[in-house]
Amino acid sequence: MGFRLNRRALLRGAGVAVALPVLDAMLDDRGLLSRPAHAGSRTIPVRLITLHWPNGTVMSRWNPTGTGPAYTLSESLRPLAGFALPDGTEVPAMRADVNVISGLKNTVADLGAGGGGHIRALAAFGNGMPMTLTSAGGITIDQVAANALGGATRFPSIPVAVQPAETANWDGASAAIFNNLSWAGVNRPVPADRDARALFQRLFSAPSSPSAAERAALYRRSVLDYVRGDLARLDRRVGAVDRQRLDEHLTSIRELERQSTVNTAVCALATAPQGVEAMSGDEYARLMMRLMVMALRCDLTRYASFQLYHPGNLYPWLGPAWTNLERHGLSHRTDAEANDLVVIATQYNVKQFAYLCSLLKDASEGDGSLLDHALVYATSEVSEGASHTYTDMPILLGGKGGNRVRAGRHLRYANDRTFNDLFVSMLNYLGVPTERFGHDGTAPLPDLDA
Amino acid sequence: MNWRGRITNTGHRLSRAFVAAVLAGGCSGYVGDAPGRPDAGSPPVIHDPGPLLVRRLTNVEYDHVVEDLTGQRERVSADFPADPKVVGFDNNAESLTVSALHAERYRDAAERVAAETLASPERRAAVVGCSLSDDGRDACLRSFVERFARRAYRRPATATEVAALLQLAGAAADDPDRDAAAGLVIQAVLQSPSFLFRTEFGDADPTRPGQHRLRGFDLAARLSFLLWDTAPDEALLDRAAAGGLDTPAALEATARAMLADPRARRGLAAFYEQWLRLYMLGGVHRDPAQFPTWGPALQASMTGETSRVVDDLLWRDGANFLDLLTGRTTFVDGNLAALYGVAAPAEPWGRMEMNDAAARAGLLTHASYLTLTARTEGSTLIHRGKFVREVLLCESMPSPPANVPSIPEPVPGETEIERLERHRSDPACNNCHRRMDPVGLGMRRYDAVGALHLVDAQMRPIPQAGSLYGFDPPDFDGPIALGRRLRAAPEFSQCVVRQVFRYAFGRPEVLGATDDGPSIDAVTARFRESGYSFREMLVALVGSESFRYGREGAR
Repeated sequence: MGFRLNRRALLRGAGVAVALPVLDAMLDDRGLLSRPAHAGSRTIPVRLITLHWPNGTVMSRWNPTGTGPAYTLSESLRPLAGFALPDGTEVPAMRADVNVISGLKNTVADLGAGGGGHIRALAAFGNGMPMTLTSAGGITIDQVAANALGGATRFPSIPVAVQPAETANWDGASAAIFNNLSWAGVNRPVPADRDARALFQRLFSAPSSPSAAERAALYRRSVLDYVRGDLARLDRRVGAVDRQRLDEHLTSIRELERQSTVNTAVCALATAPQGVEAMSGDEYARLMMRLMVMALRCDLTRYASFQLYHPGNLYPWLGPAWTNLERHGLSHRTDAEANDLVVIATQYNVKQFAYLCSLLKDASEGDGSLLDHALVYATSEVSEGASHTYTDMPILLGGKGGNRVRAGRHLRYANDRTFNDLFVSMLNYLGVPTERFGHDGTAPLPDLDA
Repeated sequence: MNWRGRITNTGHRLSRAFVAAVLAGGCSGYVGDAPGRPDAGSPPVIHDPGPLLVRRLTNVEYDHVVEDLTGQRERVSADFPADPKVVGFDNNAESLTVSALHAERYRDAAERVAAETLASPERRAAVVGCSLSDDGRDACLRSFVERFARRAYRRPATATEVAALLQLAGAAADDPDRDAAAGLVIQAVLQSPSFLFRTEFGDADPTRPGQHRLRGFDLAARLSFLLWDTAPDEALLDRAAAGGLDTPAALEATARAMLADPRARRGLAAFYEQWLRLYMLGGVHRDPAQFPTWGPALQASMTGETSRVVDDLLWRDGANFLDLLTGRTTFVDGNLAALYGVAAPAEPWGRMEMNDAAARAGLLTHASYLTLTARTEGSTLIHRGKFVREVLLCESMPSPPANVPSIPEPVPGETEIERLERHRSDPACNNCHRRMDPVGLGMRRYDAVGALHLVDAQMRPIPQAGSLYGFDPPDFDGPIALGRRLRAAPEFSQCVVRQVFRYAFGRPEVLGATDDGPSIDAVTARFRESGYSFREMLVALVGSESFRYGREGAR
């Protein structure tokens, strides 16, 4: 038996327990997916998670020494050698499953229409395009993959964030840029699920009784039919610019209709997240990660983005010194004490990345793990937080992308390539043939292949 | 869960310029600067009234409208994705879209509202109004559909729409729950683009190529969302249908009547709470050791003071709105009285006059402003100045370009002011910071929750000399003097109009003689002539060409 998920596999940690009734049935003896959706390829799909942490780091204490598999972990990256969670649970070393990529740059942060030093770089996260006043500058890599291949699952993609949306803005760029890692295009954010219970409900709720469910489904279809007709009638009367927003509404309505027809089998519900109110931000982030990974394991989606805290957050769970320490302000101090604290915060972000990778590694799939069939792209919007530096970005790439990526190395570039080139590589691993991406992605990075 | 609080240090993600022209011009730009003005003597041009926009309801508008339509009191938009604020306001047309998650939440909300409306005999009676048992079912359905859709779509439903809704209702024909058909209609209407989006069409105006003149129902919606923060009621729709909005005089008269309605209080609060950033107080974090009184109660007191002062200036007949920057009249409760070091009022929130010793007069001495602009790491001066530039003068402050050094660390013996002066000695920094930091210097006597300190820890007097670069003379002494200076500056009264303009039309204004300039000038002039009556300014805006016309745009 190639696929070794327990039928009632419990995710590690408190809070989420979901039974998995469907996925193993979809795999044949060799552990390959045999669902019609994959009849053409008969290979396990490659999943993508993009993850953002805010405010960059102190680069002199980030970059490892040496390249290739024998590199030496820097102090910021030490959690890749394994660490213990606050509750004592060990997270094993993930170093062998991760590439540290340095020396790539973001060339578009200064080309856009506005925004501060962080936001105009954040706007380029995942899409590598100059921003507009109200929007990221283009479609993000997760949405490119979702458009190409997301039709096989109930949700083409699932963006997740751990904090309530930020609504404040002064006279700068829209807070939409700040709140969204995933964009379907200009002015088309794909909003994140931020509430653990609502996300659980959305992913794992099952209809109550079959006949009531049938009638409810019929009614929903009828209502959406009407809305679609209304959109068509209105669309004929408005201009091209406004039509874009109506078109998006129409796309969203079609998406609702499709959800009810594709992969309606859901992972059966066991228990919903408990004790959410009492959780620290750290625990809540890990809960959201578990829910997101559950969605991947249940094949409810294959593409996700994950947004950690807002730049101005407090990290009180890191210790007494952090109770009133605002992370963004900290990053703009350059004294020695502040540098030390930023390194601690960075180590914490690396731990979160490693924890996420470990959840994927825990899920067996085929001859290996879900992590072998995934790419986990993680970085911040800036490298050096104090000066808003957009070169030598601190990038971590977890997973083996369907065993096509040779993991466990430090890859060093000379700031002659941009992260858009990395996105070209990643899309090809994901099974989306791609030659160009974003503002200036023109060729895949040569050194990633296994 | 304070870790999930709103950002407290927004400095570096704040504004840059909006247009390349402003960027190129460094820090001198105003948000709405147009590339150039026509030469004197060029032929008169019909100015561009701005595009007719399709505007999605904001989440707040959605809640208000659904309550009007169905009696739903509980906010159903609580789990909708948040609306982003652009140039200060949450109703920017371009950024209000319907993503798949929105569509899902709209569906869930519509299902919930339909079920709860029909389950409540009182609400059902108000919304449906007749029996859907077999006798008279068809007639009841039709009258309900026509009435409900007219109110929800803010115009009569077309025959096609009514037929489509009746056909939809037919899907529930054999449902033992006889009201299921009405439930479907409610669900469908609440998810329709004609409900979720405000659409305006108007009639092509032959004397103004490319422009449409708005009429009846379009104008009713513009009025209602601007003044009441919700959709038109039956009476306003009736007036629109009868042609009662189709002249500037009729529009202005209607606006005056609507401003006399209690709903206008909520409507205008929706404007000024965003303009003055009062909502940001909810995300402010303070070190409890340093500011033990900080908390939700004090935060509410701060919002309460500024709201009451603004309300007083909005609703008291004869009030001069410019007093916002200078007025000694204020309203405090026990919390604020303690913070301000004044005797508590006889009754909470009673009207009171501040004396000289209190050193409180005008918004720039309100705890709300002083708190929401206060930051850590010495950037308070910058943000207090930034607020004056952006919020009160409508200037745009670009954010620092990439790779510029942070504000330098203090060197031993250096004061905060010397440190910022060192920062400004870099020309790249000075171009913008000379407009902000010296303004904030004037508020040094007020701490991060707005308490007044005349001396520092070493008992040395704290100076409050500040400077307003670009104004003549620039120097001022303290926020009360600055308030007087700004009050007298035409830039401030014009900025009030510009902020209202952004809010009313869901887009940044474009100054310039062929764009929004003439309307803004005309409204500003009437604002002045009325003795700075905010309500008269709104009435003038409603009567302006920008309100009554729209460009076809890419149509």
